Amino acid sequence: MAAGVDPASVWDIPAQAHAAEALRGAVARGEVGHAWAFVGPAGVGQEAAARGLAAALNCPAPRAPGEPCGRCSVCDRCRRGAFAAYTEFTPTGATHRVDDVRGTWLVTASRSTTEGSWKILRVVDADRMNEAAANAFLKGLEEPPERTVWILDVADPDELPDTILSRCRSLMFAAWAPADLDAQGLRLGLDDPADRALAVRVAAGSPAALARLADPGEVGAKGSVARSSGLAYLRAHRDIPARLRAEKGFALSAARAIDDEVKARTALVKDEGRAELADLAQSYGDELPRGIAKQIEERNARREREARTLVVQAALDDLLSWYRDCLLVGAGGDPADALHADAVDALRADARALGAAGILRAVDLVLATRAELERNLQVGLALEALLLELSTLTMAPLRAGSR
Amino acid sequence: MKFRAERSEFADAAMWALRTVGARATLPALSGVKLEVSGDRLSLSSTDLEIASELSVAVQADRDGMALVPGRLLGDVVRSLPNAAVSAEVDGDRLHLVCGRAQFALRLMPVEDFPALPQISEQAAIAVMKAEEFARTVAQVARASSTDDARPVLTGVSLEASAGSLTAAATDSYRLAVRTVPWDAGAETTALVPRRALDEARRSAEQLGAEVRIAIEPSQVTFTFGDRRLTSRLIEGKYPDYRQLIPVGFERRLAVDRAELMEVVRRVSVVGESNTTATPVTLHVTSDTVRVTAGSGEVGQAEESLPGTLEGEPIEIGFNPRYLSDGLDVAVSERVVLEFRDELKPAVLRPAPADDQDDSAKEQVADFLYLLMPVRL
Ligand SMILES: [Zn+2]
Repeated sequence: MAAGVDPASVWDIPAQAHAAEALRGAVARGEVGHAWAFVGPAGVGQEAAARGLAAALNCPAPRAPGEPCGRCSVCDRCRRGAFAAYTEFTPTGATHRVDDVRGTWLVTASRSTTEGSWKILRVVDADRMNEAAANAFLKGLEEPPERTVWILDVADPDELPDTILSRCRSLMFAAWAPADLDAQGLRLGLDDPADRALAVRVAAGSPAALARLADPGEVGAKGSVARSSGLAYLRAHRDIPARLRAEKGFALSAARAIDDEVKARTALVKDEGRAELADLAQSYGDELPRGIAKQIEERNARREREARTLVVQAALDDLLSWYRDCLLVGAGGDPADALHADAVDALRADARALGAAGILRAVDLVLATRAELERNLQVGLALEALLLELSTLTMAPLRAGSR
Repeated sequence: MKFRAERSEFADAAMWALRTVGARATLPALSGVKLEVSGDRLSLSSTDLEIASELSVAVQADRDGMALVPGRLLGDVVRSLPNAAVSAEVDGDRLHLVCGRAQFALRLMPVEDFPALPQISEQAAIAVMKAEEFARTVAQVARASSTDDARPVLTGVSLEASAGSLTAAATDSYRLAVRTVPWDAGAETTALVPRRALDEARRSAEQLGAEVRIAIEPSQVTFTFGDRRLTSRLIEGKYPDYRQLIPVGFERRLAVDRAELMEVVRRVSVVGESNTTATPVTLHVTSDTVRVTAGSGEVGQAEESLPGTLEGEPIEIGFNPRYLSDGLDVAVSERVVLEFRDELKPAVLRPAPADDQDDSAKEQVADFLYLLMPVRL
C-alpha cells in the first residue's frame, strides 16, 4: 500500500479492531509502557499492529493523538517494516537463541535512536525462546531503556516464563471472523461464492490458511514443480475416505499424493527464499555478507520445514473436519452447519458406509497421527500407516453397526 | 542527477563513505551509498544504523537529484576507475558512470528506504580538538572497554564534558582507563559512545589530521573533519560511577621504565599462553628491583628482573598480563609509576613525566590514569 495514495488509518487492521483501539488509545494517552504481549494465533494482524504502533509513535505529523498521518515517509517505512527505529527479530533456527538476544536484541535496545523518537522492537514467535534466551531477555526487560517498546508475539503463553509475561501488557489478538475472511478471500481472487464460502469455513479464522486455500496453483512450466490450487488439494483430501473404499490400493497412492503436495508446496517456499536471496545479493553487489547469507539460509530452512509440517497437518485437518461432518450428517444434524456443506451427498455416502463407530474410530486414528507428527515422526511412514488403517476400517462392513 | 567529478576526489570520497555501509537482512537500503547533488556539491552518505558517514565534494553539477547505489558495487567500480574525469548520470533505474573509456551501470536501490541522517542541532555542545590529540585519547582509553554485550553500557566509552575539560573513560570492570583533555565548550554534558564508533572516528582523525569538531547531543555524537562527518548513536543507560573506584592516595609507589617492564611482562607471560585463562604474572617489588614471575610447576615457570624504584614497603602483587600490558602500552611516557595500597586493592598506573620536559608536556602525561584490579594470588 503506497502512502499518499491510500491515507487509510494504520489502525485499520482487519479483525483486530479491539487491539488496534487499545494501542491507539495508549499512544493518545501517553501510556505506551515498555512491553506488550500480543497474545493470539500467529499471523492474524500482529505485524500490522506492531508497525502501526511504530508509525503512531514516530510520525512527525499525526492527524490526531495516536493517529499517525499515514502518508509521510516515516509512516510509509513503518508500514513496510523498513523504518530505522523499528526492528523485527525472527527466530533463525527453530528457536530464538541466547546469542541473538545478547548480541542483537539487547544491543539494539541499548542504542539511542537518531531517526524517530521511539524504538519498537518486535519479537516474532516470542514463545519460541529457549530457556537461556528467555533468561537473557528477562534481564533486558527488567531495565528497559526509555522510549523503547518491546512487542512479543505469543501464540502460546504457557511457553513463556511468567517473569517475562508479567512485565508485559497483554493484548488479545483474535482469530478472524467469517466476514473478515470472506472480504480477504475476495481480495485474494476467490471469486466463486461457493469456493469462497468453503475456504472461509475451512480456514477457521486463520488468514494464512485462507491464503493457502486461495493459492491458484501453478501449471509447472520449465524449472518449476506443478502445483494444484489450494482448494483442489482440499477436495482431494476429503475425497480420500470414499476412494479408499472404491479403489483398491488407494491408501498408498493417497500417501504419495500428499507427499507430492508437500514437495510442490515446499518448492514454492524454496523458490521464494531463493528469489529473496538473489534480490538481496544484488543489493549487496553479487555476494551477500556471510553473516546475512547464513541468517537467511537458516531462516529459509526453517520455513521449508514449517511448510512441510503445515501441509501434512492441513491434510490431516481436512480429513478430520470431513469425518466430523460425516458424524453430524449421519446423526441427522443440519447439513448447513457442516464445514463441507457443499458436498452433502458425499458426506451422507461416507456416513452410511462407515457408521458412527467407524467414523469415531477414524477420527481417533487421524488425531493420533497428528499428535505423532508433532513429536516429529517420519512423516511419510506415519501417513502411509494411517491411510492403510483407514482403508481397513472402511473395508470392514461388520463394523458398520448402524446400517 | 548528473555531475562530473575529479577521479581521485570522487574515489576517495566514495571509499570513505563505504566504511559505514551496513548489513541488515530486513533493511537492504543500509547496504547502499546515497549520492546527492545539490548546487555545486555532491554529498555521499552511508549508515549501518549505529554509525553514519557523510561527506561532500565539489563537482561540476549538471542536474540536482539523489540516488542510492549498492555499496559493494560502488566500491568495485571505484577501485577500477582509470585515471580520467568521472561523469555520472541517473537514467531510469541505473546510475551510469563514465570514466575515460570505462563505462559502468549501477542498479539503483529505492532511495526512500534510506534512513534520514541526523543533523547537528543548535543546542549541541561543540568543541574543537587537534586530530592527533583526539586520536591519542581514544587509543589510550577505548581498549579498556568491554566486549561482552551482556552489559551494553560497558561496551562504550564515556565522554563527560564540563567547563574547560573533557573526560573520556572506559572500563570492563577489570580495568579502567581515564583521560582528561582541555575542552573549549562550556556546556556540561555526557555521552556514552559505542567503542566501534570511536575507533572509526580515531581512524579518520589519523587519516585526515588537522582538527576534529566534536558535537555532543542527547542521542548522538558527531565528529566533523572538514567536509566529512561521522555520527554515532549512543548507548543508553547509566554508566557506573567509576570515580569511586580510584583510590585516593597510596602506600607504595614504583617508578619503572615502561618499555622494559612491557618487554619483561611479555616474555614472562609466554609461559601461560597455552592456557585458556590467562596465567597471572606476579610483580615482586623491592626497593630497587622488580622481579616478574609467572606459572607454576605444571605449566612451567618463568621469571625475569628489572630495575625499579620503590617508595614504601616491598609488595607482591599479581595481574592479568594482558591488562597490565594494555595499560603500559597506552601510557606513552618513557617511565611510568605504579601506585599500590596493598596486594588486593586496585593499582593505578600513570605516565611519569621526564625531568627535562616542559610544563605543558608534563601536564599532558599527568592527565591519564589506568587502574587495574590485581589477581588474588
Ligand atoms: Zn506520518
